[in-house]
Amino acid sequence: MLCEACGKNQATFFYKQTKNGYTIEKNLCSECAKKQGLSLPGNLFDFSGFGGDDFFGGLLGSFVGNEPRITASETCPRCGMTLGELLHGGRVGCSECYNIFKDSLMPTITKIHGNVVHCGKTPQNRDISGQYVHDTVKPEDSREEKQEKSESELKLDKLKRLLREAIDKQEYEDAAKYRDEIRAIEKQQESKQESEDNKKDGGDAE
Amino acid sequence: MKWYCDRKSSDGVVLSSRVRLARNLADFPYPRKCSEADKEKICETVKSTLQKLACERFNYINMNELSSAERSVLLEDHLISPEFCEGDCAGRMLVTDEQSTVSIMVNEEDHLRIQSIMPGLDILNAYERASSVDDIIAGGAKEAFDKKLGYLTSCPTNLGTGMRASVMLHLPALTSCGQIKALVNLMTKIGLTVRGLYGEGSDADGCLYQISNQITLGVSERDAIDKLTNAVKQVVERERQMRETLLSGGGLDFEDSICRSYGILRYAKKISSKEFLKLWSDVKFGVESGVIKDMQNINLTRLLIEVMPAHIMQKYPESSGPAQRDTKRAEIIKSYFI
Repeated sequence: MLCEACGKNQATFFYKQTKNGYTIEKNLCSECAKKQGLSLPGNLFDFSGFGGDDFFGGLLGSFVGNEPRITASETCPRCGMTLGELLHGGRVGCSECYNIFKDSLMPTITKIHGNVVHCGKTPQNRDISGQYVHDTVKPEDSREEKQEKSESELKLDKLKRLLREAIDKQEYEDAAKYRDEIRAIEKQQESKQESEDNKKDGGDAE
Repeated sequence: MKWYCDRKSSDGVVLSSRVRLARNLADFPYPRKCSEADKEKICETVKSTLQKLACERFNYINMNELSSAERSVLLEDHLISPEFCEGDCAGRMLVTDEQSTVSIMVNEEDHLRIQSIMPGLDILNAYERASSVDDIIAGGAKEAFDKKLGYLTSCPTNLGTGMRASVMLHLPALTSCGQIKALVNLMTKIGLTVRGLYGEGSDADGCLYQISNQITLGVSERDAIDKLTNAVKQVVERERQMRETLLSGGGLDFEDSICRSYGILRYAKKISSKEFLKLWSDVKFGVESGVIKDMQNINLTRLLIEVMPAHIMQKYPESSGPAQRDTKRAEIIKSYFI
């Protein structure tokens, strides 16, 4: 099915709203849906506490059936998974789903694991020698710079995590402290970036 | 040798350490969304990769060809998950090595669930075993991986390392002193999960519990393993302290209750599963605290597994009803004392 609005792209966004007995239905591509302000809200999920592997399904499912009755769904072109299905089952259908449903999934992933990125084993750099990947020695030249960079980023990640925890616990004084520290580091990074850019620009001019 | 046949699994508070890695192949949708033909292809890819690249021999078992009793035995051995033998098993394959130290569930919730169990507290060894098999797979097939999200898994709770490490513990003293609830709360705070192994709630049958890691993204395998190992060591220490207290404070009453359980376990003519778990727990506690002295050479963990319903039915196919199994269970227990 093609998008009703532009008639060009494949419709992946199916919108249905029932109000006062009238039903509005729209079949749009994701871009047109965004233009019409129909994209999905960023944070769909809210939960407190978790136990076991299955809690995710439950918390995703708790969204379904909420009033008002709006069913908006996007479909993964690769495996046919719909957002509704994902919300009910709490499981994605394929690797591509993480791209397609990114906006809906990321807030939940952050809630579960924290605002962090993967560290540990990778399939490309696997531990044939029995060594952990993060223990392996990086090439000499790139080592220092990378470590410095990741250190401030790690600190930033940690602070962001603490900030979120403080807000959850309603400890606002602590939260304000973390916020200020985060701002300071971000500012520092920005000015560093700027000075590097300036240096580059200057170099090009000469 | 199966993990529970090793004496190390029966030596103390920790029975076993298990590591499970969730992996998916990049070129296929996940099992819930993939066709029967794709599932066949995934099994074929795993099989051919292992045959081509691995130095050791593996056994390939088509789950559909097993009877439900045979599946239950694998479940009781902790080699497969309950989900893996539920419903239609078409397209599911179990891979095991000759020594039964590692197994792969193909087409469970994820394409691959690589699992290794080691007797006693040895999470690192279990991880290295599972990880070495993962390396072989990655050498022959492209695994679904994202730089930020790590290994991509069907359930977002497994993203990152895809690793779930769990340790099975016997905690009779902490249970009888009502400390389990506090333990559950404490572990939750540091990102670990405690579950009763048999029966839900904080008062698990047989006082058997499982402690596992919860977070998989943003934490490396080694850090997660170190954290779990340290936490388990502390739990073991608390359990030992509590046992001392019970032993010195309980006096004759305590010894009497242990010896009564020992008497029933040894001489009863029929024992149900539930009753067995309670008696087994008392006796294990009794042996380790020195109250029972003539059972030092008996592998109680092996006994625990071998008197479970599916194992009894495998050994005595005629004992299909619970009543017949209760009689056979008592007979098997008796054979351990000869």
